[in-house]
Amino acid sequence: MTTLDRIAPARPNRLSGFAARALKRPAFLAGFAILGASLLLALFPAAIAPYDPLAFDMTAIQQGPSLAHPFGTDGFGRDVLSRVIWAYRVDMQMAFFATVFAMLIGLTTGALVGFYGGIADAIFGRVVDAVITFPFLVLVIAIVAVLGPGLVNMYVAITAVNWVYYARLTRAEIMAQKAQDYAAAARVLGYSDARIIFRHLLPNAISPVIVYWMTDMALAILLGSSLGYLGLGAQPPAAEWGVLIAEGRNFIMTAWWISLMPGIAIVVTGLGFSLLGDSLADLLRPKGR
Amino acid sequence: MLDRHIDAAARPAVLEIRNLTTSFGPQERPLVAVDGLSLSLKAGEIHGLVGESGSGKSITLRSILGLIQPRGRVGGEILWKGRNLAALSERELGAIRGKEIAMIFQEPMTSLNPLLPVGLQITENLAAHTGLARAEREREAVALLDRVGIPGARARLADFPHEFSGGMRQRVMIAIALASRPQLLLADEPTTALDVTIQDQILRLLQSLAAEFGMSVILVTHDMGVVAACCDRVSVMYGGRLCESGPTADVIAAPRHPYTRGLLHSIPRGVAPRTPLYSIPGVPPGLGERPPGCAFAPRCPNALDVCRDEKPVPSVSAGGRGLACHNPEPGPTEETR
Amino acid sequence: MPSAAYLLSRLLQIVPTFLLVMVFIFLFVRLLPGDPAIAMAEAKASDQQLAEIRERMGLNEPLAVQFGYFVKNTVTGDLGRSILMKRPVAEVILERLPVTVYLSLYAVALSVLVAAPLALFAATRANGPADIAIRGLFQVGLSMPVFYIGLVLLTVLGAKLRLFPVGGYGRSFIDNLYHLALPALSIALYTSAILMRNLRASLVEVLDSEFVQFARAKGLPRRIVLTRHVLRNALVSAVTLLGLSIGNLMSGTLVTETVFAVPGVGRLMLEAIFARDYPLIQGLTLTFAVIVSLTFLATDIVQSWLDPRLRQA
Repeated sequence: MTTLDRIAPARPNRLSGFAARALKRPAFLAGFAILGASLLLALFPAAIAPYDPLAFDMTAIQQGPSLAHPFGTDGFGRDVLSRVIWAYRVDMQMAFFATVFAMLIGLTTGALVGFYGGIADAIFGRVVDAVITFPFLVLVIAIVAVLGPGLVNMYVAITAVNWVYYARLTRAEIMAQKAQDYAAAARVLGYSDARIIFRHLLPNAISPVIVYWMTDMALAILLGSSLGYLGLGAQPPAAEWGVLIAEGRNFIMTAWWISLMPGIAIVVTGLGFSLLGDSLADLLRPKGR
Repeated sequence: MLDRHIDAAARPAVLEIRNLTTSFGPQERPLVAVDGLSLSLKAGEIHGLVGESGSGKSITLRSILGLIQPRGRVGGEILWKGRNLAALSERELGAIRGKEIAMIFQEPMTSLNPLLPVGLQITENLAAHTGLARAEREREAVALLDRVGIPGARARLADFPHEFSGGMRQRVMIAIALASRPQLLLADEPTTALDVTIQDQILRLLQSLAAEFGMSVILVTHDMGVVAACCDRVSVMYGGRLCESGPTADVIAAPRHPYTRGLLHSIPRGVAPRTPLYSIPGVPPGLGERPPGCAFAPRCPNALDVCRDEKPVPSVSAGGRGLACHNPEPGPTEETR
Repeated sequence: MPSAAYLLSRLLQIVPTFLLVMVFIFLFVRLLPGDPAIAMAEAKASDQQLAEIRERMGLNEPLAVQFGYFVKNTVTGDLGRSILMKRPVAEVILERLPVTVYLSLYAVALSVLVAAPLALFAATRANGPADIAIRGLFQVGLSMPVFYIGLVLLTVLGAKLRLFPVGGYGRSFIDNLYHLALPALSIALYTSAILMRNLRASLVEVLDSEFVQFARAKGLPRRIVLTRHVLRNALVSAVTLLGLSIGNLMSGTLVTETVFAVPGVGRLMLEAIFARDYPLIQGLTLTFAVIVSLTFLATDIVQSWLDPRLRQA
């Protein structure tokens, strides 16, 4: 390690202290537990779900919640709980794939325009202004309209819009870090731009981006299930919460559980991401109390 | 200055603080910010309350008007014109705040509402405390701004705080505080945020206003220089307790508490250029970590064993000087103990 | 009031942003595979109809010139013909727009009514049990998609309790307060959660500020401290947030109009997408961008009216 690597504000060797503080927060623990459970459900639905999500049971059509079927059954006698559990697979994927590329692209673009400024930064500013002039959902479904409905096209559409928000955030953080003395020192020492950006500035600028990513995964589930509901996201027969809710829409007066039960999964998972995101924000805030 | 203080000594006390204790946090493990402070103030007197940050001086001021945030508990007595302010309800205090006792704050930047014209911020005071009609209120506001030395006062009523300089903003704040002709002004570090030259102007202004209106002032500061320049009496606080009090000239000439000595030492006076500034070694204790004995004992050059175990009891001696110390510096008239 | 110079400079700032917005929308149809003229025409369009569309869009010219045609057509209000409605796009949009504007304003009014008192209540008891309970409740609200809130309200208040109609649009202003109650409430429950969170935070900050302490030290009546000093200052950030949430609000109308079968531009957008009615999609996207831009502009003006520090051009 060079001297300068030590001058730059500390990085993860505070990790153990961080874990200790994190474990004292009920919000963090709750969020962590919810997401852990969600991940298990997404990875091993077959082991957890009580029934085959696709098995028709003509003897148990549109039955209300009972001990045998806690979430009731749908129009083909399929167990709603099992379908909700299998949907974790699609929705957790959605949270990840709809956001991760946007984050990576945004992080890189934001770091570069924030560091170099100039013309690129000016153009970037205009792009941001133009993109936020469209309602997010409108822009996404307009792009889906060009590409056609479906899960992968939805990821592409969301990423095409969403990276701008990550880039804007990263740019602001990089600009703030660039103004600090350690960045100037790194330049005086003649380090390459790439080293300054990725070894020194980005590690110190990344916390808010990670926090935003957490809450954005919650938003991705909200957005993805909305698109699923509208028929522009995951396509039936794929089990996805929004799609499940849409399937029950026409029976909502008689068999409300088909539509309303999958929503519980959306709320709980969304809550998990927000709780984790919010407590991470508190924990990562410099000089947190 | 000396004349003034002799003159003031003859007047009766208007404010009498007895054993003021302000604490925060849980009842069973309270954080005590002000610990048994007593102080007496005469009409027309300017009283300096000195200490480092965290010594409890600002909390003392806020306790007087019941403005403690977040909600703290105020014990002891604050006798103002025969009434105990510490026992009054929020509503009863409201009738005294701003009318009989006014207060000004340290940061003229953040203490004025940025969204309202300064004229309104003065006249709303007059509206709350006087029966003046709108036109009269406006005339009075102009007179006040004029009095505190704002040039072109009439034209500036509609201006917003950000259109004034720091010093001018502090003058505006003083004008607001003076609007209802209070008998007591609580000034919380009114000059700390200002340039040195402007500091001096503001202190002169406060002094002349006190004399003109017969108003008493409690001036909180961390700067002994400010006290020397304009206070009749001074009380020195440390760790929420009173160390020493007395007529300014006497205390400065012969400080008895080691902490007061240290504070006076910190002012460069008649030393060769480039001599390092003296500072008292160590830092003041936090709210939760006050020692059982004298709060200053860990940093005190004169500390004895008794200092660490027992709180010194304040005593009052001849010449109106108060002292809370087990092992004080020798006094001018006293023999060494 | 903000100066004329400020207003003018703010208006001029919109121009470059909006040009870029137009470029995006212009490229949108060109990115479709195949001939843009065919995309913009009905399925069974005659050669003559296609020629007319090419002429109008300038498709035989270079791309830059085509963009010129696009800007000229848009500025003169010619947005093409809707394939689905078989009428001019501008006409269809103008007919449906008032419904969405009504629904949005209704939703904003409801969210302010819900969020403002609760935020004040929570902020004055910051970190007490009531504050934590209110914040927890709204956190749950933030985790619900608007379409789901809509379905729950529709099922419970509409179908089971029969308090409100489950969809459609009324005939008069008053009638719509009743008809659009559930869709407006669905959007409002989501936006009020965002608003409440922000408003509470800024109220806590203002309540703690020096100037509010100074106002109290001046002995002003409680009511004046609260309205003139606390609420007025918290209002600035609330207005900003409401303005910035216009995008959320529009996304919300799109979803709820679909759930409750409200004939506004949001539902129209979805109908257009399923019908692959590209002229209509293009026109609607532009309409939404104009609404958002105008809202940002209005927000800036209100802000500079509330906050004198922002008035310098």
